[in-house]
Amino acid sequence: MSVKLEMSQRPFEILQVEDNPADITIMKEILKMAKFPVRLIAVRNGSEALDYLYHEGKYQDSREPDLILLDLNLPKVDGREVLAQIKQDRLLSHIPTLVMTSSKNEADVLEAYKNNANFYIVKPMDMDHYMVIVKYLEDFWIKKTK
Amino acid sequence: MEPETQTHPQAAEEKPAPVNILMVDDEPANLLALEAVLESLGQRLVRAGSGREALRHLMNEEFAVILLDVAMPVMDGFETARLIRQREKNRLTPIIFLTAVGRTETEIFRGYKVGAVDYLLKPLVPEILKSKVLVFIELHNKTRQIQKLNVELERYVRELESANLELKKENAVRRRAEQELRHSDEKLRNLNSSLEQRVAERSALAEERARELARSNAELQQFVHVSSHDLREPLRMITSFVQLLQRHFDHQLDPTSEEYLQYVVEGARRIQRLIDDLLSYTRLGGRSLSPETVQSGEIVQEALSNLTLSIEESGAQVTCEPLPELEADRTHLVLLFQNLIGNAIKFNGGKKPKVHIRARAEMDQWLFSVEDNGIGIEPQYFEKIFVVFQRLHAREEYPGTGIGLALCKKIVEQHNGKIWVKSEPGKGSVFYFTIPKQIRGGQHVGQVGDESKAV
Repeated sequence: MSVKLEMSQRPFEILQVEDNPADITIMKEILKMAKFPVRLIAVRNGSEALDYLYHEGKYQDSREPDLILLDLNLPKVDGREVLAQIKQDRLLSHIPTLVMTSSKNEADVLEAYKNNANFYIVKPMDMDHYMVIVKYLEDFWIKKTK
Repeated sequence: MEPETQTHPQAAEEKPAPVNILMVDDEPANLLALEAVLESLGQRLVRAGSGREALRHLMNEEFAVILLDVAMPVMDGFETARLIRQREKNRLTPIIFLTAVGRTETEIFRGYKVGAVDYLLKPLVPEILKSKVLVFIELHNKTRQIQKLNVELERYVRELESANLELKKENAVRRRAEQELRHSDEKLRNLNSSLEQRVAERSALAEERARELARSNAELQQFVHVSSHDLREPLRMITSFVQLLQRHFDHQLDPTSEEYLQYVVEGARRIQRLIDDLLSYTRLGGRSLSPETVQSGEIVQEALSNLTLSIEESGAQVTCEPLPELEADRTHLVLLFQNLIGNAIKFNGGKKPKVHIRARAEMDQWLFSVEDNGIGIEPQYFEKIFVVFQRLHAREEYPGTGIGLALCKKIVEQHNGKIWVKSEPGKGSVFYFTIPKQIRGGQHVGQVGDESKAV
């Protein structure tokens, strides 16, 4: 799953919680254009996300991600619950969690920020906008954590 | 009887008419003597030479008193008195027997028995005769008076009775009228209550209808909202992946394939705009107004800043007169001005757009106008342009979704205002709309109207 590894640097790890494989593909493609090595790990629903974060089930060997991209409307455990759980847990709450959804609903935005989401991104309709997101991730989150 | 005479005092004071006095004696000299004595009383004196003649007189006339000689040939006084008394009419007519001195007590008693009320002894003493007769005259007068009074009384009673009867009739009529009134009142009440009931039923029905309508309207809006959202997702996929493909084959595709891909991107973008407009249109219906006091000048500035790009591109000149403070929903009002000014700039026909905005106070509302120098609209489209998805121009000429003016109409109507256009093709258009100075109380959530046509 590794993306453009650079010599001594451990790649920046992003956990994407997304039920739509197309969105995962888009994100993968887009991150290829990032200036830093990024490793994208994708899980398909909320309960898998929690398994990954708590090293449970098939994710016994999982590592704590550097950043989480969280969709809200997910099967099984909803993205909102995952967000609440992450931000309630002292061991997880430091992981930057960015909500990335197609919902422009104000109530969703408000709820996300109330639950201490670090950012709220509406899935762009245009590749140019995706590039803006990648740049934002680089400038604001990847550089900062590295 | 006394009170009756008092109520008719003039009857007592009148000088009574002369009464008849019947003198019966077979001796004409005796009759003359009687006459001589009684003349001075001023009454009518009737002479009878025999009992039979006396009876004849009595048949024809009424007498106040009869002076009857006892000793008469053929039919003596007693017999005459008996016959007089037999007649009902004369049963109570006073008879004074005239009898000679020396007659026995038996005779006097016999006289009383047949009906004499008094007797006089011959030779008559004039004063006694006069005073006795006078008593009977007065008695007669009194009787007559009483009779007269009685008649009057009877008439009076009759009148009273008839008045009473009339009164009773009137009462009956009134009672009937009252009854009828009560009856019709009751009818009216019944009618009223049934009317009220019907009105209540009707309005209940109307309310029910309105509720149903509101419900189905809300469902419809929900449907449009959800389906628009659901449409966005696959569309996003199309746009994203076509663009990824473009990147992927960067400069490797032949020009035709490049062009085809570009068509796909543009088509998808157009669907995207359509869905966005549709979403904002249904959102308008689903959202109730939140009116606040706004400066419409600021609202126009906000709309203009949203239009910066198209203003710069077209080189439009937008002028604005001082605009009032009013009560309105800020977001909606921005959208309204943005659409109207945007249209004014867009439909320019190649000229440099000039847009002028002004407002005027009318009775209880504000009249706004947005005037342009653009292509104008033919009169037959003045109404049509406010219908959702109604477009007048080819997309290549003027892009758009056909929702803008429908949105404007909806916003204005939500504020209980009106919107219309005046235009001449080639000379430009003026869009007018009104916003009431008091819009509270007129807020409503969604209407079945244009959006039902839209779906």
